[in-house]
Amino acid sequence: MLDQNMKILVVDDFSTMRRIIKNILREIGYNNVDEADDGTTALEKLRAGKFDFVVTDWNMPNMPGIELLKAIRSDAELKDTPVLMVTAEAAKENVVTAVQAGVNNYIVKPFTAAALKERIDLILQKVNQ
Amino acid sequence: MSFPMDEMDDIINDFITEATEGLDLLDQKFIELEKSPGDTALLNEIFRSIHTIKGAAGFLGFQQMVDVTHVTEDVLNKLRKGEMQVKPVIMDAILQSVDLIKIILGNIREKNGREENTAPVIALLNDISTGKAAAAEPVNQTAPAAPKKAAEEESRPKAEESAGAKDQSIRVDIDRLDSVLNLSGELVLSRNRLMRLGSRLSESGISQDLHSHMNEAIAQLDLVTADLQLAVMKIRMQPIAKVFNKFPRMVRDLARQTGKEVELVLSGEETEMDKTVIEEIGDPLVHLIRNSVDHGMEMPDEREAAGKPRCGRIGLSAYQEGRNIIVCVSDDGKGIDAARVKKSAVEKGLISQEEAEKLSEKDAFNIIFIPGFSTASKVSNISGRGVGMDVVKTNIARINGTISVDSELGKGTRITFRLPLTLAIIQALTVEAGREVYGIPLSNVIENIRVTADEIRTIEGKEVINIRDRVFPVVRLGSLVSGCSEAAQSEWKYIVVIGIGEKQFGILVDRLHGQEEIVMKSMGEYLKGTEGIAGACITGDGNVILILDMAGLLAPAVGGYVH
Repeated sequence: MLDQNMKILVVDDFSTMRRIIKNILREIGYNNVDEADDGTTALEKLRAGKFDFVVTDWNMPNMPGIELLKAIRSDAELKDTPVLMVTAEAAKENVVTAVQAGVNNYIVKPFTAAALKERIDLILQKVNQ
Repeated sequence: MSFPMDEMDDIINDFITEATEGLDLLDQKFIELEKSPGDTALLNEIFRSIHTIKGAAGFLGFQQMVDVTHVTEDVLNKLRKGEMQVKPVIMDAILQSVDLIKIILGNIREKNGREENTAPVIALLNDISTGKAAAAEPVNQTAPAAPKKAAEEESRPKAEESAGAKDQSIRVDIDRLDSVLNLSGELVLSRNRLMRLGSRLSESGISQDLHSHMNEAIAQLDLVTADLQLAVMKIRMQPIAKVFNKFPRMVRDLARQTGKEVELVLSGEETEMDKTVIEEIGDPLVHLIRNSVDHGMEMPDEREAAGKPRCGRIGLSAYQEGRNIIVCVSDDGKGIDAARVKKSAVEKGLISQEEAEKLSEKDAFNIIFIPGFSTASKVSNISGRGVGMDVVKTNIARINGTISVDSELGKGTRITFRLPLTLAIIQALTVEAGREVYGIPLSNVIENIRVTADEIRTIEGKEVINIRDRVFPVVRLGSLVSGCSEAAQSEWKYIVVIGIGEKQFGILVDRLHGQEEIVMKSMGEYLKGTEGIAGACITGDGNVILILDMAGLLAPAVGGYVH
């Protein structure tokens, strides 16, 4: 079930964070990872190449994660791409907004490799059903 | 996390660099925020910076940093949501926590395992965000409607701004840059040698055709080398904003500590100069700006009584002038009282009464550079204990810079640094004294004059020369450096007029060789600590010559001039 070649886009404005997330993804077996430093560049990349999964930060300049999510859901080509939102707090209003905008799941920073794997598996399970 | 160790180290280094950059920018933003407290966009940016650092710190297990950033974020969140208003007391607390974050980051960088006492700052910020601290009176409930709306607007994407703005820069280890610089330096040497050899070829009877081809190739090499040198220099150049940006925060803090009103006006922050020079001018500037706020600025009431605006103005500017960068600190404070400076210097035994009377106003200002001088009658912990200005001068001289003071009583003071664009490749005047050839950095040289031996007079046991009605002390380079006082017994001698800080000297040499672009090589361990030698270089004809550090060489003479 776990597709090791799944192409993942990691979106975060802080390069250290992108690197950390990429490392965790590698640890749980995903090596096909690209990155973008904000929502706008993420959209460009998503439109340019086929991505199977998006892991995005919430708080970013120019285009925050929530706007990226909305843009993905309203794009005919991209609307089915699974999106995992990374937030620093499980602030209720954020979660509600994100769920309403069609997020597949969210994870609170800092998280372990096991927690990330669990979330990704959960999302893929639901999507594949 | 279970990343490989070196990967982890790499990530931590990344984090340190990125977080440091973020924090440096923050200072600037906080100052802007105080000027426009209602700027929600700015508050959002500040919030995001802290938030981002917290996120990454959490992953990397820097718990202290997480704790401090967390409470800071709480307060910032309330501010950006309009639940609290920006006030000096709150700003003080936030700035305190940012300082603490910097200290913790420093501990991480140095891997010293030190734990800071974060409790007081965390408690203070907690009190503010929970409304316990007096500072945090909740805002009138009718007010925050407007800022909230602005916040929502801010979070909308600004597509046109970010579309093409991809980051086109890479981080490179400074050692690698230095090795490129070094290599390009070697290339300059080879070119110089080749050019010399080329000019000698014509005398050696080779065919005209070959000679002209040779010259063409050399000319081409010359052109490319010059371009390469410039390009390499540019890589090392950084905007002076890197140094300037820390001052608004510093001036703000100083003004609050002293109860003065001071505005810092920056200009020319985009001026670029060599990284090494930028690193060296930080401390001197800190000292000068502290002096300006502490000694130069009057209290607001005092200013008003003198018919000046209550809020004083300190200008910090930079611009390029030929091969130099000019950095200027000016204030509209009370200026330097030349008479008081003289009096104080006499009392401290730095100069005699007669010397004081002879000094012009401009020379009197230079007394402030004598070690052990401080005009402040009461020593404050802001400007220190009179250990400053002489150190400022030494630091500037070390990077081949000069410093000058202008001041008008009651109107203000202006201190100007004249700095070289780069340190690695310098223009030098090659001179001969005591049968040896030396290089003098051209940045020190004011002019060269041909004199006869009898134009040098002796006044009070010291040799001087009169040039256009100005008297300069004379230093014989031969006896100063090699101990060999006389060499060439020619009728003519040459005086090289040298400027060290504000002092000028006539250096007596036997012969002038010429001006050459040289690449300075450090003398390494051999001559470490030798006063007066800046380094060595290989000249176009293949000889090794010493480059003199005029400031170090003349240090005894500089002191002697005043005593």
